[in-house]
Amino acid sequence: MSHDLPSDVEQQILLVVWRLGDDAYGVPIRDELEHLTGRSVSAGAIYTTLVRLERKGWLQSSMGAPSPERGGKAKRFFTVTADGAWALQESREVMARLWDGIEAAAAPKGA
Amino acid sequence: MMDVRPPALARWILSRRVSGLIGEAVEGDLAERYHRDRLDHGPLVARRNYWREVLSPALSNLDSQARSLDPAPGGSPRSTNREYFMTSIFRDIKHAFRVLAKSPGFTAIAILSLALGIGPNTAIFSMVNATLLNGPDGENPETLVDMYNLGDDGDWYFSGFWLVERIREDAGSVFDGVAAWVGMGAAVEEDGVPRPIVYELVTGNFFDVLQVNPAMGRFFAPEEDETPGTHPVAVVSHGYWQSRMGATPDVVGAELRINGRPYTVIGVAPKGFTSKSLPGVQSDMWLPYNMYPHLAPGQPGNGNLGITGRVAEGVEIAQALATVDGLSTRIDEERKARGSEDDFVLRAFPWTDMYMHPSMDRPLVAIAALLLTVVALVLLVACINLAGFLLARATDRRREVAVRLAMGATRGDVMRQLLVESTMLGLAGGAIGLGLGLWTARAFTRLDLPLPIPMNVDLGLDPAVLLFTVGASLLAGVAFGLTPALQASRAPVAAVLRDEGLSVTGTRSGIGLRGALVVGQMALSVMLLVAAGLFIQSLRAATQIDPGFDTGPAAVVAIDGGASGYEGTEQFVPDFEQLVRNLEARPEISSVTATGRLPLDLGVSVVFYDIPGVAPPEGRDNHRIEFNTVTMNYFETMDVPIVDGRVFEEQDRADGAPVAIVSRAMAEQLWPGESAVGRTLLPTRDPENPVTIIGVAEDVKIWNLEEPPRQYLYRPYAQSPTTYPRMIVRGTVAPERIGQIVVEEGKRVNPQMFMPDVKTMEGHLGYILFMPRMAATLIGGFALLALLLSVIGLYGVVSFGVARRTREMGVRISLGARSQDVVGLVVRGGVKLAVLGAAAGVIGSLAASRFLADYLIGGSSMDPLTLVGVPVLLLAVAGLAAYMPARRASRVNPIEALRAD
Repeated sequence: MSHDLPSDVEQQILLVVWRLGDDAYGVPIRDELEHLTGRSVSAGAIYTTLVRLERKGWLQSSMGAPSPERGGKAKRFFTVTADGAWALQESREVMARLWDGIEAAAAPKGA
Repeated sequence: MMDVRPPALARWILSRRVSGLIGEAVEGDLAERYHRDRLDHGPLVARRNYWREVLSPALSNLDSQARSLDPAPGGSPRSTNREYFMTSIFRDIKHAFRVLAKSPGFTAIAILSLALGIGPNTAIFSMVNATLLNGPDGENPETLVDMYNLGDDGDWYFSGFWLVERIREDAGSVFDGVAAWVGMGAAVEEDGVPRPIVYELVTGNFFDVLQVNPAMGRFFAPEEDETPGTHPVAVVSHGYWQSRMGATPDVVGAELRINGRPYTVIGVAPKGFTSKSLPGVQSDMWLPYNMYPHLAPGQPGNGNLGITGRVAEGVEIAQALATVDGLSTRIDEERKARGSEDDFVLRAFPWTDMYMHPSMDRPLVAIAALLLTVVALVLLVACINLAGFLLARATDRRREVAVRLAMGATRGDVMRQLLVESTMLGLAGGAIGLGLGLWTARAFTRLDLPLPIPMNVDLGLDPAVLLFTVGASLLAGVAFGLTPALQASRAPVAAVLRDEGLSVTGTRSGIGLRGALVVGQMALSVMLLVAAGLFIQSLRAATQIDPGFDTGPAAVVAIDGGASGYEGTEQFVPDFEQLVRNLEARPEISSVTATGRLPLDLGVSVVFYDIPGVAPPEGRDNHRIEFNTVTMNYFETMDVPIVDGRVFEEQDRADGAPVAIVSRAMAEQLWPGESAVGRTLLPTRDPENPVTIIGVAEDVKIWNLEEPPRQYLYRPYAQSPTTYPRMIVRGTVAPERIGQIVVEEGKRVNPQMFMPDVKTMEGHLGYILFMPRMAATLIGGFALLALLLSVIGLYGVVSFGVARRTREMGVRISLGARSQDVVGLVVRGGVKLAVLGAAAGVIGSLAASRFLADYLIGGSSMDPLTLVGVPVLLLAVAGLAAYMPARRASRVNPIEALRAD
């Protein structure tokens, strides 16, 4: 579809949803993201990104069952769509091309 | 079971911030996290984390993004709009807090300016509210009317008890009840010492007519006001019970010794019930009218009762007024038929149509209007400051605004954000102003004011005062934030973002508008200062008027013979004469004199005379003469010259021939070109005992300092004694000490001797100068406040201009301009604004001064000193305010200035 590539945060969330598989809803997505990136993110920020990704067609979602510790509120499960998977691959390749030939340890000139 | 749900308030806020299926998922997630945090870290951490999530700004955009994703589940577009608006306002407020906290200097000055503008408004409004607007206390005021008699001079006067009875008989059908009341003073014994109180003598149905219920006990029963002198009972005010009776719960049945006689307390009036005769003044208690033989022996015939009627249910107010008019005509015809030439007019005034009293309303409203106008102008000056600051900031924040616009915010969003900011400034200023104002007003009423009645105004945080202040703050924030917000939201995005370019045109127009605002401020300040100058001039004129008597140091002491337990003058006079002799024997005392009424005091005594050979004034069938009673040495001691005839002498005893001394104005008006000495006056009530005029005294100011000479008559104390004399005592020690000596000697003659008012001549005259002094002080203070505020405004404009023109200054200095050139350039700019403002202010003052003429003693003709002095003062202060930023400009380092920007 578009030539749009996912941003850093979008990539991170797409990857987390992918890793979590069947259990990808708000709470574990956030736990995993915080665990893997070492940064804390607010629920509002995560959901804003999730919704944006869904609108772009990289994620899709379905409502699950409510539970008592959630105050009777349903979960919203996310899965990565084919477009989403393609966009992740695409950005990975772009990054790889950009990194090609650069020694990670070498400092840029003028720094 | 323990409630492990997140805090209810936070849940509610969250539910307002998110909606739909996404909302449900977010609420569920946060609830689950809360549940887990509670188990892992305890309720405190869980709650804190939950709140943080709920208040997170990131939630704000979620709804609008999710709307296209999930079909709105039954929610109408309007409710989503409202929710959107709510979350936006919420975000705006948070943002405003951050922005305002980022520049604390600006925020503090803006808030302080507003507080200084709003404070005086709150102070004056709360006083006007407590005295005028709250009016007398009574339930259902729409069916209450007061009834007054028209006097010769066109003012409305109190009436005698015969009229109360006549209204009850002949107009009773339109009233459910007709009550009468009169405010008086007495003494209550506290631990054996008589202490003064203010009370109202009221008919038994007074509280029923006003439909007021007692806070404790009961009000008067019918039989307690039927027979003269038989029921010594009292209803005390809530405040009196609290402060003077120790708030004791068994107050009902307690005994008070009033004027030497025991009275039983039967009830306590509700809190906030002040008085009928003087709204705003707290009456200490209410006593039944029929106790007049003890409290006020002359009462039934005395024409000083206020009358209040409760219009009967089912009767139109207009019908009641017409009935009273009809009664008035009938009484007038009856009197004319009996040969009277006096016109008689009685009229009913609905409570809803007046503030206090039909004749007093106009002057009181005029004073209130003057003060409210003055403080409104101060607020206007403060608001202009706010607008100026906001304009300056709007210029500084163009880039921020442009970025927001470029990122998709609408101009409405930007304006809303800026208005939220200015409104928050307004409300913060209002909150401080409210405290400031109430504190000032309360401090003012607690001052020992030279007033005849203690001012006891209840200045609580009235809802009206709160509403007024909040209204003024919102108006200040919205009205004066609007222009800057409009200006900012119209920023041409592309130009601002491209940088530079803009700062030239944008800055110019900002300075132009701000300059105009400063000119307006200066003009308003000049007008207020000139007005203050006029009032100071008026005060000076008042102090220079010769009252016609010796105002040198003296003690002025009132003796209340009735409150001291004397039954009448026969009992009182011997003790009084003893006191005078004892005082004269003291080496520190040089002279002792006494009078029934001091010149320049409240109260009046009137006698009616037929004068052979002199026709009474138009519309009257006799002469109504104000009179006074004085002891023999009065004219000598008060230094009032006798211009014809002689003073009172030993021969003018009680059993001697009745004699009188008249004022020069009376002699000249009644017997022009002839001598008044030897003429006789026939008392209308007692024509068998003619009074002979034996002398003419120089005119003395009786009521106030501005009055023309009045017809006035003096009788010797021996022939016309009173149990309530005022002594004027002079001596070789300080007047305060003389006052103490009088009290000591009084106690030696009779330990019960009650002296309710011990003051100095200076203090006594303070009362007559109170109004001009208060006007000069208040208006002068407010004018200086306005000047201070507009100087802050000028300083702000000049500093801002200097900051904007740093580069220009740098160029000038690097091209060889000396620092004084730069200073001159900047100061000239500031002074130019001040000159324009001063000129506009002087023109405005000349136009406005005639509106002040009524308030001023000695006319409103402008004192050249004021007219020149005020602009000079303004220019001096303005020059100083411009000089400080100018000095900063002259120290600009040209290299840095050119590199900056």
